[in-house]
Amino acid sequence: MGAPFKGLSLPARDRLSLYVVGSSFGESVVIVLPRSGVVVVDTCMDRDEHLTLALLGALEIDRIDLLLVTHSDLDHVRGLPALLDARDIEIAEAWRFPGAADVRTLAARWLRGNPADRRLQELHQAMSRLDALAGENRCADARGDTGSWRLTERSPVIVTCLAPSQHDLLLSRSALDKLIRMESGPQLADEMLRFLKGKSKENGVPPNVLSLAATIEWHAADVRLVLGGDVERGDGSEHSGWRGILTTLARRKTLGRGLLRHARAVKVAHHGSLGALEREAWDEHVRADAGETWAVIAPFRHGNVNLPDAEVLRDLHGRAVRLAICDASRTASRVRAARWKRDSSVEEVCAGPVVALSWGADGACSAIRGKRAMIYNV
Amino acid sequence: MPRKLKKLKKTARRVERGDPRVVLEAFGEPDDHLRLSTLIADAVTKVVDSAELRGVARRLTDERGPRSWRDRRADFQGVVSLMPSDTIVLRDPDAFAEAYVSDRVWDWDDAMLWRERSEFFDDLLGPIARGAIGLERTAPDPHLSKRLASARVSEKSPRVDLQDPYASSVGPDARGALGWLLDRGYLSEPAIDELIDEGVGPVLDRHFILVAYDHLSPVARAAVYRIAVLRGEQVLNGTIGPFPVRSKSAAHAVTSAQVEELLSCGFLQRMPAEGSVRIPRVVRDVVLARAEAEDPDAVEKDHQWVFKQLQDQAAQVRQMIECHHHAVHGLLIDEAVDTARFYATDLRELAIRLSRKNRWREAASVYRKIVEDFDPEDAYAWEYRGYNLVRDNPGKHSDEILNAYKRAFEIDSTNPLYHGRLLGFRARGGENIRAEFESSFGRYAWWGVDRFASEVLKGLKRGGRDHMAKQLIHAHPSLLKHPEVRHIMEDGWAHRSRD
Repeated sequence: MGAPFKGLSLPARDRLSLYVVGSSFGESVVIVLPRSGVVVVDTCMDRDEHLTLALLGALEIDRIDLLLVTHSDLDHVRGLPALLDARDIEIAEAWRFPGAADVRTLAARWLRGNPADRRLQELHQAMSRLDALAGENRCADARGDTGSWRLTERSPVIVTCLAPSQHDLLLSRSALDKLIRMESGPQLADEMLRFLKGKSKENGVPPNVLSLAATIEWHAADVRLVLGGDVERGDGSEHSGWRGILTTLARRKTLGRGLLRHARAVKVAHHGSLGALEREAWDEHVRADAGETWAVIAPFRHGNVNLPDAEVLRDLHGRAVRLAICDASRTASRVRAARWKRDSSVEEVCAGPVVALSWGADGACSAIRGKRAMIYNV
Repeated sequence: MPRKLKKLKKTARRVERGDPRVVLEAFGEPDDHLRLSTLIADAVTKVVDSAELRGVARRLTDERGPRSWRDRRADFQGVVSLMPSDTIVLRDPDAFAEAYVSDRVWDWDDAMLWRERSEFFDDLLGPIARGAIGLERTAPDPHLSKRLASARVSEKSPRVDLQDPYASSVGPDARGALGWLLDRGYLSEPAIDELIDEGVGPVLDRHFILVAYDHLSPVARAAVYRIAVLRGEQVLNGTIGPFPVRSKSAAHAVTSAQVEELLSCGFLQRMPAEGSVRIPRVVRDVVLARAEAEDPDAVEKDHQWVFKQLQDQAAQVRQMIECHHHAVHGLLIDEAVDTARFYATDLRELAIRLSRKNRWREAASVYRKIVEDFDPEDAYAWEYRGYNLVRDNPGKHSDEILNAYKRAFEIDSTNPLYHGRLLGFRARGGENIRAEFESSFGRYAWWGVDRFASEVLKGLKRGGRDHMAKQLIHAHPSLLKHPEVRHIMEDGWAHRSRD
């Protein structure tokens, strides 16, 4: 274990450390909290190599205090059963996207018609393992109004779930319900595929409406991280996608949109797709007078889809953030075209596709990267 | 405790106390109209003094009485027209109304059932309006109100408290789940208000049940999968229906902890009769769909278990109907045929399920039973007897197939699907159907031409007569605007598809 991340030093106890790994298909985030506590978001494989487990091994982490499973796409849950089954890692608590039980049921049903389909096997396995965890009262369905989590009452760091909104929950639960009630056969399989890809016209559900998103705040150090999951712009209503997050936060009595404000790092939503670019949210994240903001992207390449999108790269360039890309080899030309300049000053400490950022109590940031990752400046 | 939650809990207690008069219940299933008409007649034979009325009603509960809706309807109309006030209470007629006022695209296959339900529904309006049939409505804005303004629910129902903050938005069957979600903090009052503000109406009931389902523990979910095969009120005194309630899990048992969780989250509702519970209709609908999607064999086995427990005790009409229902859904063919006493709607369901499992010959024999023993004028049964025999072995059964398709079309001669299949089968056998196709084409121009032409084209292609199929398309190029027609005309379609 740990080969791609050999050379990474152990996280400092008094710092908040963020590790983003991405294999150009999947993505996973590990956050080591100051004093103690580990939060993991999704799991990621690079062919047969389990990047999340390898990273946890390299960091000598044997306990996950909160696991977030943002949604059911394989680029976020591939390797999840192995993580949940890992004997040397204890998982205390998990938040999963709502409707996971129905996704498992649909996968089970679809598998009966396509028993050799590996993707379905993976999906079903992942959802079943999560369900087993729910059976032990260690996994809960989360939403934008789920509330906050902290390791202990005195823990300095708070995790708050931002999405999905009630509107998106209603939209997507109803669509899943329709799928479950469809008769078996090729039509169901086709519709299910379209639904998972967010292309279902009949069910009218925009992509990734079920995805979780969260913030991680260390108030004492004035550090706020935004983990965008795969949240996109939703169905265009004020209550959907990123607009839904903004609307819901605006109504909160305390903090409200402050939860998105002055982020020190943003795990860019949905691998930097144009559909996930909500400029108003970015206006909140980035403030010129509030210190630097990192935009961290785990790229995605599958079939005709090649993310991050060029327009997103241009938009981020205009915001004067620092850009980190986990697996940069196939994105270099697009990044250059968006006028980003490579920053070679950040130390390369391992071979894997990882970006690691950490903040001390004074809010100062330090960065390292793996060989496959790249850092850019405006 | 928040003010709204307090009121909600108060309503939940009222719902649990309920109205002791409830007699009959709609489940939103295909046999609702025949089952309810039979049970209404059965109730009349027991509570009404009039010998004349009892006599008519008895015909509907006699195994030697009329066995098709067409033959039973006149008797049923007689029963309900003479029925005195407050004879029965019908719970959840909206379940029936939803099945009748379907959102689905018009489907010729369902035409007969659709018409039967519609007629039953019409027959109910009079007795409801004059109070012979009382209503207990569980949905806030259902289809029934559109047809019968005086049936505007729930305001008179003890199951609804208008002081309840959600009375006008959330039906009583979803109230238990909503209270549980609020109580556990899975939903907040602002979140509920936000959803209600979106004006989603009856969809909201289902949504709250779905969200509660998401939060249910997997063991409680497994238990409710099992219990959901049952219909109507069940005893809760050491059992739920024929499932024993034990402290530890065992085959065909549910545990008391599971029952407690289901009661607390509103997936089981206590009823007025001592020790009686029911699964609210929306809950049952949500849960059964998932149980069948997850593991249809397990659902079948549960039905088989229930059937075996009931078969020797089924003396009352209601028990006989339920026993038959479980034989059908347990795919126990012989037992289902043996227990079909009053009507054949459930046998049709059995044949459909067998056909879905590619057990075409068995499906065809069930359809034969329907037309021989229940209704020789059942066009659907004739049609699908032919359809399943085609799938089994078209060469071996060709005379029977042709006869079945002909009978279906004779009975329902406006049905483009049935006509298309008949013509298609003849074309497949080498007959020249061009003239009949052309003369019939105009009849379906307004409605169903795609179904008619598709079936004819399928027959031609199956018979290797691609040239004729192309000629028909050449003569009627507008057919190609229909996706199914385009799909059939693709090269190699006949080899790829059994359809």
